[in-house]
Amino acid sequence: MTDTEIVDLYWERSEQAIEETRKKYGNLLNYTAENILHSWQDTEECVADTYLAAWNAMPQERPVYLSAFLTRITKNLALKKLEYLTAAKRNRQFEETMEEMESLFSDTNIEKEIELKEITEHLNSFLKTCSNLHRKIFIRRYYYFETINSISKRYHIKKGTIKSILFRMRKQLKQDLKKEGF
Amino acid sequence: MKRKDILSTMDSIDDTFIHEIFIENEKNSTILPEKPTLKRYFPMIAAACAACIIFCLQLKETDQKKPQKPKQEYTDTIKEEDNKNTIQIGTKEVTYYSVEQPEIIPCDYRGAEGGGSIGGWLTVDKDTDFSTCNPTLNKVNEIQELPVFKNDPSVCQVINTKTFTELEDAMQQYFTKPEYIQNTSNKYYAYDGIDYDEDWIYCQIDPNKNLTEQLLEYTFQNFQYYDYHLELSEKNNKKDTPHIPDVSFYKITQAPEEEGMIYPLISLEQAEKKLREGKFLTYGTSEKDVAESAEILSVVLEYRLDNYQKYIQPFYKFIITDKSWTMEGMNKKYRKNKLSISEIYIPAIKDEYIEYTENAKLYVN
Repeated sequence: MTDTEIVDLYWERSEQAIEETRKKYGNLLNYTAENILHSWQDTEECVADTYLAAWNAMPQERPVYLSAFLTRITKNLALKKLEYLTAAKRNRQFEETMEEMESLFSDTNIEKEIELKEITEHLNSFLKTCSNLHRKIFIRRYYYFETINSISKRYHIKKGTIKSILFRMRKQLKQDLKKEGF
Repeated sequence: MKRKDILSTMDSIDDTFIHEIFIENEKNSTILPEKPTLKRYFPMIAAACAACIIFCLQLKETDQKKPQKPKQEYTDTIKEEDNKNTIQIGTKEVTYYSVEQPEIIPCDYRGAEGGGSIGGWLTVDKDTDFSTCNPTLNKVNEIQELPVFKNDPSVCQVINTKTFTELEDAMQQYFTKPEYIQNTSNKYYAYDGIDYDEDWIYCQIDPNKNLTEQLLEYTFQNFQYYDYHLELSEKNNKKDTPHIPDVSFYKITQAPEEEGMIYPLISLEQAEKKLREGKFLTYGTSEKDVAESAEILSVVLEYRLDNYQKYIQPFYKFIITDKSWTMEGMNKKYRKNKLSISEIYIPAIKDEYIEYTENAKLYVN
């Protein structure tokens, strides 16, 4: 079923919408939540909450890419859950990814929301200039929070090479942002 | 920038980038291609045939003006018994012919562009001797021609490893003549300098064969194992504990099914000239900047086995380093004993017999 057909079902308030979403995007949402939570039980809960959130959000919104719309919900729910779960204990995998991202934006000062939007535009332009493989590695790591090990296994590329690719991309992006005055 | 702003920035990434990961996950994608089926590819084959006919007609028109170019069909060239070479590789018999005018073949390259320029592509220990099982090391001048084979997904396969037993079983089944097994290993460090990957290359090379045959054995009877267990074991303070983590995999190559055709090669001197002119294929972007000054550490003739190559063809593979590659960004503590290197590939077949794809042109120009 196409995204438009699924969105139509949401708009018609048909419960089949959730079943079709689960069929098409269930794996992607599990992947998204699991990368952050590293617990099957928490992932299941988070994905179930995503369907509910999508159900509530949909009449107002008509997303073009359901994958992006749904994963954003899942990510936000997973991050909130993680914050609650890790109040006492840090999640090492998540912290590693965040530290890498913080190193990228360490010198960047944001004063207005409009600047945040400009940075996102630069980031998107930068990613467009990268090779497909590099871009996918970057998105898997920093959007989907996939571990280096898992990316390495997925593409059959040495772990060190994955780290080097990410390091170079962060460095280049940081330089570009600096040039633009961020 | 605060954490919530960072997350918000990443959250606003273009929808198409997020969606392409979904598409890739759905395909259960790895680098390995699916085995093509005729039915699935029929429209593409039909389109390719039509394109070929149009191209041939155009070629016929321009043939009268241009000097003659090789135009024989790859598989229909004159195959006289006198020109035939046969070699046993593993359980397969591989045949290749020498012909007067081999057909022009495509040369592709999809190494990743972009990503900055801070040094070489790989980081190794300073005392690395770059020894390799490749029999052409320091002998590339002894080879003036090499066979080329049509690529096939079965030639190079990547398999995830679960246990050491699985790995040992695979090795035992793979090599037909254990007495000829040679092996070497390499360590590559990540830019954080903390951990490294290690790979082992095992191949079966009969020293009694000539250099071309040894190179073919090295290429098509090759077992490579990629492993990260040392790093993980060290972290766990269990250096002696055999351990296979979930990121180990092995790569096996087998001889191609179809017969090969011999192509003339450029000389080492010509290859080096191309290197200095920056006309080469490479993974990074900083290599072009140091083309003139780079120090060549080693050179071999090597067949690239990328699944996207239509033909398995030889390249000069140079390992280079440069004084300007200071590994800025790596922790100083680790940088001291490391060397930043890169691999440079230059198609070994003479220019008149290869045609760069659009992808490859981005690198060689």
